[in-house]
Amino acid sequence: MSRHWIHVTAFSGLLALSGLCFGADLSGDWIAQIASTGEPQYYRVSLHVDGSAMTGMLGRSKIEGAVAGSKVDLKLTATEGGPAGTLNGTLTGDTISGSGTVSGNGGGRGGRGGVGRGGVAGPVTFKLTRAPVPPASPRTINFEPTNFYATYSAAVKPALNIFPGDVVHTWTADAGGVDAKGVQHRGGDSNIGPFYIEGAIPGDTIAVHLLKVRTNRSTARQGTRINAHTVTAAYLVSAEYDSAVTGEWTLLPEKGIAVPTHPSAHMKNYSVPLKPMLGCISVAPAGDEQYRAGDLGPFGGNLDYNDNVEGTTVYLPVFHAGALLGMGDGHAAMGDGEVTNSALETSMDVDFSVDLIKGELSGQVRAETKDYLIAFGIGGSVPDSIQIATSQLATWVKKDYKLSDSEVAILFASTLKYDIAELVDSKYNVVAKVPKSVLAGMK
Amino acid sequence: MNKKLYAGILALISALALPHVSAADASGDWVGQLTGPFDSEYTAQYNHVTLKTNGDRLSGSWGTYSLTGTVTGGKVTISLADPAGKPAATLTGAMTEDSFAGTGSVIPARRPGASATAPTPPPNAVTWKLTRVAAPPAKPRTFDYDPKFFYGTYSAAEAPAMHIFPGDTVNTRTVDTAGRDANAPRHGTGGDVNTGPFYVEGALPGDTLVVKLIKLRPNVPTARQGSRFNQYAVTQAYALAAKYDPNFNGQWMVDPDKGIATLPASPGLPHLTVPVKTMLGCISVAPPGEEQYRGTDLGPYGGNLDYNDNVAGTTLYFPVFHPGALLGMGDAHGAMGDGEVVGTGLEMPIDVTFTVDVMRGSATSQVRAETGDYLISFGVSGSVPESIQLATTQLAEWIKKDYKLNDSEIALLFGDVLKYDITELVDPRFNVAAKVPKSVLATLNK
Repeated sequence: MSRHWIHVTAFSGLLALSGLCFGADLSGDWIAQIASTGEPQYYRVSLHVDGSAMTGMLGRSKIEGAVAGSKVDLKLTATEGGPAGTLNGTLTGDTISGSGTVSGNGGGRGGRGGVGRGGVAGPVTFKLTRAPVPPASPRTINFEPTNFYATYSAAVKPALNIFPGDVVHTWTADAGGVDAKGVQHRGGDSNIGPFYIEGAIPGDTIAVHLLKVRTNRSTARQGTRINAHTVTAAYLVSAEYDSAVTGEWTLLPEKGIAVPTHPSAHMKNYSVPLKPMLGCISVAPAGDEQYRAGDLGPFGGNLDYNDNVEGTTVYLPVFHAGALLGMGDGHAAMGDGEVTNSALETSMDVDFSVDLIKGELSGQVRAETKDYLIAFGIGGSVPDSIQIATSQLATWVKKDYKLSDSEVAILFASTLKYDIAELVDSKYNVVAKVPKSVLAGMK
Repeated sequence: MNKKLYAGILALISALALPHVSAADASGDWVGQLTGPFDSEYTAQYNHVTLKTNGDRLSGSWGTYSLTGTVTGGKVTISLADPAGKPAATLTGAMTEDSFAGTGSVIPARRPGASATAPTPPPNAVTWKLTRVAAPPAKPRTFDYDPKFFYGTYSAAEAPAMHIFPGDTVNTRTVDTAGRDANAPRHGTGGDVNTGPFYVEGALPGDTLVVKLIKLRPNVPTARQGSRFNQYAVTQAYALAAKYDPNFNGQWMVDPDKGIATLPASPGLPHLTVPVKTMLGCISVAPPGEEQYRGTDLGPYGGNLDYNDNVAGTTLYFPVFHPGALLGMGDAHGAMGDGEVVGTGLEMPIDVTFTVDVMRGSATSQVRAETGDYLISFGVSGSVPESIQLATTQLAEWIKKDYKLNDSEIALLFGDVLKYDITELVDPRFNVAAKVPKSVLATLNK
């Protein structure tokens, strides 16, 4: 659960320029990046100019300042542990940049030292850019993916900038990179995107609403051997696999089922209900971390949860400006744990929109369906995953429903459910969930 | 597990006299018991034995072995052969009252995996006994059993409280985990005392005991529950930071008629109401051999499985380790979330109605279950990852056998529709359930 925030000045130019200032009127909303030797920290800034005097807030710090021509001087006073110090900059176009001296704990996020670590004042550089201004009404965007990326990293260039509320119509290729028309793209659980969410900064959470997740072709493929983590060693060594069982599926969405394309005698009438899901949904991982697309972590990725379906909202912590949302690895249906290493792998039509929850960072990914509040626990072992999932869910429900530790414990003891989502990838994923019916009216 | 016992079935020789029995009387079903030099009454080998007589000639079967022999006067001589026809044992004996007994010699079966060229192990001297199978009643009976004591140790040494036959129905009750509502003494140590044990006639080691839960109903209006997370359920950081209210009231009001349980109002939970889903936390047979476990423990014999779908309508399948199986039950919960994360469910005494059946010779390695919607296998072990593997493996073996699937077909099926439940995180062992929907199995051609 790293709280590193990396340098994203490269993207700052993409921020909307609709707030071009007139003369010295710098009043309004800005986003500040303050960097010492490492990664910059991001703050939301509001400025109010009255003549040559300036007041406002930078994160949780009070601003008092002065404007003279293009010269801007800011004094920061800490409240609730925000940074304190002075910043001296110059207005160039729509950007104020310069340097200064700052101490503080970086706004109190994450409990780690940030700018001016340990409260000792240190030299910084800073930049203020205008906060992006959303379009008058949400847009509908048809996005035709051309880039399929197989590494979760903030270094992947955004494919599209969207605002909270925009609806994106798009599609994903299957885990092997094959799309609905049979065109081969980059495989390896490649994601489409990343989508840069305007206004998202580290410390926020994005809510990704999966408005539509539907299969868009008639075929899917699945593994036919059971993974070593799911059965005993004795079973594994004695299993005799039959090459005639191909794992090829024919999808019949009009009937809501999938049937084996070349069924064995015992499976002539076998069918499974379609429940199209996205195996991968991700933001860029913290700091300079990079993972291959089959991996999973606090940034999401290959979560492989079979309730990440149409109608589900997935909450992802934001580690970088713009969040850098990606998705892929659709499954037409999947049992718990993905025990054959793959599910019914196929391409999908996907519609989604994103909401931005400012200043709320959870440790890992969460989700919400019609019936449940859900916390994921991704860890190096199933027991770790159980503990992480339960703790994250408890922390969430305690906060949102104002419960004490005793209350959340007895609530979970009577109603908690677990799902084992992922047993076969680089990390494990266990889901803890509570029914919304029990929580209804409890706030 | 007592595989060594099965492996050790052999044949016995020697001749003893049967005083008053004519050969014709020997026809029918018997329980065979072989006891070697190291066996006790709990580790003896038991088998279903069938005898047919033709004059003074005997034929039939002893477990999976074929049987031939003679009955002359009161004396009997028996030879057993393994399924391949190889001599396995010779037994001699005599009849006393309505049983045979005697001595003999058994050639131990080869150890599984032993080289074909390994020397044949030397024969073992044994004693043996044949007793008549208890005759079932003309039609199934219904008993009202009011427990006279409750036992807190899973063990074959626990004397049966009652003998029942397959098909019989029993109306009884269980006390809560702490033994409340016990108008009877408790035997053994520890909590989670059980009602029983019920000796199920005809059940022998290697069989499967089938227990169908017909009715589970709370018989008091309140239930108690803990309000602190167990350390296996949350991270260390969470456990250290949690501030629990020592006066928190975890006493639920339970209304089985309305099907709801309500917690006393607290500031954050002004009206927490959950559906009543009455389950048996403990249901067990006697563990193998001379093993003994306290009532809170769990294993291949069942015990404190704490599965929140062990409710009315669910059927459980237990491997049988001792004659009569020795079925017990207790530790009911009015409702429980997965994993029993605070160490308890809504603990309460309940009324229970159940019926039993016996499936011959189909023991599985651990307990299984069946609900209206799912076939379920439990995996009880010392860690959650191992429990996942045990549960998945046992379910795969069960369905492969019953639906005649090969390893690729079962893998495909599980990859599509398998579900897991994490049932028990907080007791001496962990329990994970693997399950597949019966609706999907119904599309398979057996």
